[in-house]
Amino acid sequence: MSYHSIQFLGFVGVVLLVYYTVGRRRQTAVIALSNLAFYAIVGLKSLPFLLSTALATFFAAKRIGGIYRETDAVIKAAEPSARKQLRAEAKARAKKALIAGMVVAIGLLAVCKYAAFALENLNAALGLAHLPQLPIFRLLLPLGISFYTFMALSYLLDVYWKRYPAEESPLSYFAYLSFFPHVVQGPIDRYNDFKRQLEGGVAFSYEKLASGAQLMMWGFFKKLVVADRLGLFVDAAFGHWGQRRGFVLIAAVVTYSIQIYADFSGCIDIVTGVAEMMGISLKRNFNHPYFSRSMGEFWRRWHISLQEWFKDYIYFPVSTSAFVKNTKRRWAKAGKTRAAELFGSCFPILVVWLVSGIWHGAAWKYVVWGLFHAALLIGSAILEPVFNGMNRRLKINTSHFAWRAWQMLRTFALCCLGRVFFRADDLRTAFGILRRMARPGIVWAKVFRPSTYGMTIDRAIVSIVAVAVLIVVDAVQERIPIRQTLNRRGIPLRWVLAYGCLFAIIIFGMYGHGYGSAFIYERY
Amino acid sequence: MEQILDMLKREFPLIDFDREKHLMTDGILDSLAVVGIIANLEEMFDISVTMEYIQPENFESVEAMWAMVEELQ
Repeated sequence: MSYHSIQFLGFVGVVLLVYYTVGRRRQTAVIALSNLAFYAIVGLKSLPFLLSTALATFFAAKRIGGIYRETDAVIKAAEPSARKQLRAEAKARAKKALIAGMVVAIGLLAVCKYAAFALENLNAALGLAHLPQLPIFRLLLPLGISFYTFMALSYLLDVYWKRYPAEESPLSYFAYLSFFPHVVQGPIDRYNDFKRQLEGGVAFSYEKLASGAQLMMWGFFKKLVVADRLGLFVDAAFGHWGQRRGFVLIAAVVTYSIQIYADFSGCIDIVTGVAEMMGISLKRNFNHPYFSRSMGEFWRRWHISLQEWFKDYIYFPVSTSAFVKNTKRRWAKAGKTRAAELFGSCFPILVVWLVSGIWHGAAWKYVVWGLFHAALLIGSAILEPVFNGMNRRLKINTSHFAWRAWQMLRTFALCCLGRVFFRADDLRTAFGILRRMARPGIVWAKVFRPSTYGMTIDRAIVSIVAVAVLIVVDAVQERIPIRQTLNRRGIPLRWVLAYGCLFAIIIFGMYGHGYGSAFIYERY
Repeated sequence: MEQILDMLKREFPLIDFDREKHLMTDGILDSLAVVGIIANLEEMFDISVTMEYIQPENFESVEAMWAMVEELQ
């Protein structure tokens, strides 16, 4: 049961009916039960892994909360001079519980997702030393493990850092962690945001139901009409990349960049729409990323909840770690002030992108993808003063439309380059594709022929129009919130647009026997 | 508080710290800037800004940063 299946729509319908009829006090329990039912339908084998992470992090956070409650009273009553020592002791005790919870959550992720990759690389090293090989075991990759593990870690760390108190009810925590709309592909929500919205229950709202349904429909359009149509050409081009070169491969990479955006943001629109119908706002995950003018801006607008997670739980802790502080201090004392500054700003970025690469998958291509983006971000941070100086000397009007358009195009091109590593089967293939992309050999007469891309003329037209609709809607959304604006308009216009979108999905969508594909981010 | 204001004006001359009261919410300061401010505050006041304090609301304005420093001293 994928998010873009008819079965899922039926499932959502039943959940909504029960959710709004049982009374507000029981809504959390309905969410928890719906999550269990969703897992039972989608992949029962994944459930023990989810439950293990949920139980370990719930009880670890509960223990941390208990330690803080105990010691806070003692600290308040103690002499001011003794408070620092008491706080440090409490922190040390809480840290043990934190580590225990993290070991279970990260350990399960590591074993399920990375054990085979680690063993393969170990065997390669053993092979070089002519030593016997180890058996490789491949475990089931539990559904949504990368996403719910990050949500569980955010909860545990937030409690440890006293951002909010530990949850007393396991049901509430389970409802959050396994919430069926966000458990498979995110967004990576935070516990306090989720809990706040369910406090006191959610009253039925026709506006939220209609608004959520609109967003879902737009998500279906993005997935079934845009992403899956483009996927036909992308799969064919990447599947036979050795027989293609130059323009066709470049077109495939550009198309893939649009496909992955339509696919991932389409899924997020569907699940955000479902949550909205339940009166719950999920974290925003996309903000029209392809209109970004720099890679830094792009990563603030693409998969926002993941980038924020990395900022809060990797970037800041690494930046303020004793290791980074001491290294900077040591280098500054030795007179290497610039090197100390650079280390302080670049090292945390490098760590974030290494983790980001590995999080996306257990393969070297993801590591290289992460390093590629780290290099771009570090390079742009270091060279920013140089670029600004060049712009001033060349008297470039940086607020001019043409300059802004060039910046967007440049950012998109860099992004597409990174996508080659993302889409290719492995690192060797990625470099092979890059080499063949650089090979000229275009016959200009063939550029506008749909058969060059393995398409018929009608399919090509539908794909182009669908992408154009996506771009126009995104461009308008950059300026005005479309749904809120439309909802203020009269009913006839809203229904015409709703039916238009529905018929576009029914007529042009890729679904049914032999068509359709899973969401790209499901595998992460 | 004046010390913090001087440091901020020196490090970020283009930002009007007297007027801006939502530096984080409005996206005026990014994570890189926050790390730089933390390093400066730690050096100026001989404090250690731990993770509990690295929250957007503590960097929204000069007043918020000063309140955090006072608490940490």
